[in-house]
Amino acid sequence: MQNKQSYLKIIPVYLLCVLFLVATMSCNDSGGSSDSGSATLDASETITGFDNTDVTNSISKLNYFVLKTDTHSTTANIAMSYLGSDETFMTRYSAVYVLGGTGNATDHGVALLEVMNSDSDTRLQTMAAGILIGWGYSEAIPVLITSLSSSEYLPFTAEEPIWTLAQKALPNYTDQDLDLSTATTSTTVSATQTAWQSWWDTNGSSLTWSSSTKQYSN
Amino acid sequence: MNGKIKITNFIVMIFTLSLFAVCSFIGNAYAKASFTSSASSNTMSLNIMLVGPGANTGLAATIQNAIEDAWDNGSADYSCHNIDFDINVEFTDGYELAENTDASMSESDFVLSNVFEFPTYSDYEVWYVPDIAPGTPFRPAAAIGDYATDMMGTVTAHEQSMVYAHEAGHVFGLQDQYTCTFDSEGKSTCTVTEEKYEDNFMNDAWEGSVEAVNFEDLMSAYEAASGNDVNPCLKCYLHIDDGDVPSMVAELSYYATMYFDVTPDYAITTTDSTNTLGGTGTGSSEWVTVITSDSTLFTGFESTVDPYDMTITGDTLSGIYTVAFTTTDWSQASKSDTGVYRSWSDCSTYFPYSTGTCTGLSSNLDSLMIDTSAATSGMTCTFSTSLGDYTGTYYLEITSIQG
Repeated sequence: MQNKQSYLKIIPVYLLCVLFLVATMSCNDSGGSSDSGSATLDASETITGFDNTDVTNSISKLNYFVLKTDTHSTTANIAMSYLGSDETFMTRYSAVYVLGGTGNATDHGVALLEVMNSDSDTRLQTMAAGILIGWGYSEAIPVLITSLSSSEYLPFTAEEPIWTLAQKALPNYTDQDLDLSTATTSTTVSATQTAWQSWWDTNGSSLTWSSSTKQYSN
Repeated sequence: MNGKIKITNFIVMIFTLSLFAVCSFIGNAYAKASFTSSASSNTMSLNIMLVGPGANTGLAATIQNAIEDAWDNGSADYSCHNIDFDINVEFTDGYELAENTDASMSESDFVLSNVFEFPTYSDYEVWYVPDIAPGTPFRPAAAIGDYATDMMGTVTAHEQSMVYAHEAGHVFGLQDQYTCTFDSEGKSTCTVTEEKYEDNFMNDAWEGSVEAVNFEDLMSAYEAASGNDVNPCLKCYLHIDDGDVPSMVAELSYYATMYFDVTPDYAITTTDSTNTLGGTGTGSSEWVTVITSDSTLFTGFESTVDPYDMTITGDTLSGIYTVAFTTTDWSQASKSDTGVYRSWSDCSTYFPYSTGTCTGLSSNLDSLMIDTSAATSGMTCTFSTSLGDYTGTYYLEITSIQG
């Protein structure tokens, strides 16, 4: 009798162990490839699944593809397919964001140029310009110059002025500064716009891009 | 409120407080930063190691200068403790980005957690710098792991100098001072946590400034985490009743009795009914009541505002004034939970920065400030004035400065 009771006591413990093993195996199966062990993000799902109520996590997933250099080519091609006007703003934003960190001028420049010239949102146009200026598209320069006086913010940021893109890009790629680097307020940044426009009017048509130095010159 | 920085999510207060918990104010040691304090100097030290494809020695120098310039200049302008920020930023290419192979990670953990091989630089704050071209949109938020887990953050190589100073601020214990929500078009609705941070760089790293409140927060963080009291600095303000004083007094809620010794001999008349020690009279020394705006400095002391504390009359009001602190209620003289009484002899313990020769008193009769921050011992604040002929009511305000 005592032995039978002992067995009965062991059965629940045994069942719990079995359930634990099944659950563990299930978790491993759902975690994607056995090589990585953890879940594998899908680029399309990540780009189309941007969640404006969970921005930090959404940005983190986009960053994953930017940092994962061995899949840049595949990721960029996927991102390029989500730039169209029929896509939602969040999807287009995600696509431009990912393309900026994974794409290249040869394969993706034309598609991004279309965003810069035709997207319905000026912020995305400016984001595209911030990327294209570093891909050798001098057409991006006047777009960035325009943004110097913009009061808009970069999408899904804690009100980072959109002119920060131009502030980083223009001096770096043109070897000109015109007091832009040291400007720290919207007012002082905007004040440099006239000088930049004048420089563009004078030099824009004769600028050439050096892929080796990654700078424009004339 | 203008632009806010969001890239700092990787550095959280929890981490900092966990570091503070094992530190003491004097000679405390952070895991990544350290603060040392003595009667003559205070130093905040921090080692940062840059890694990643966007980092190099030039960037290390840039970031080091950016952090030191912002914080040292801020300290010179706003901190009574005269803190020297000793920042060391280095670069190493000895690490590679790697995915986390921990099978227990969920999908978001896979991104947010430690995908970067953990470095061995235990004395360094590690900042990962991705290869992002200038102008390309990139938000470093949680780009590499969860900061609370792996104590590594991410910055880009092309930020404004104040952005780097802002990030260092998190390591020193400061928090972001904004909250934001976003609509489906990416437009943000951001609010500053408190009005005093409206123009502050912990609210707006792009257009904000380092301000006095940052140093107050810096010291408060140490106090909260270490359990030790941070010695405040004291500033003395001498006001006269020129019409603006009532509004000033209305903002003040606390005062404590102090000993006001006038040399040379000028008449002092105290008209304050709460002046229990000195009473009304004239002479070269007198107990008077001092208004202070700080509730913590005089905790347990009397807390009634009296706009008419002291009248000084004299043909020519110029001379040396010696101010010393005491209390009318010794039963409540203990400071917080230290159990140590703030008696006369203990004042040097709690107010080491409050004494010595106070300078800077101007002829501006509206608000005259004497900065006592340079003093290092004792508790007597001595200041001189050249007010000229004046008869009227004076208000001496003593304010403690935590930063």
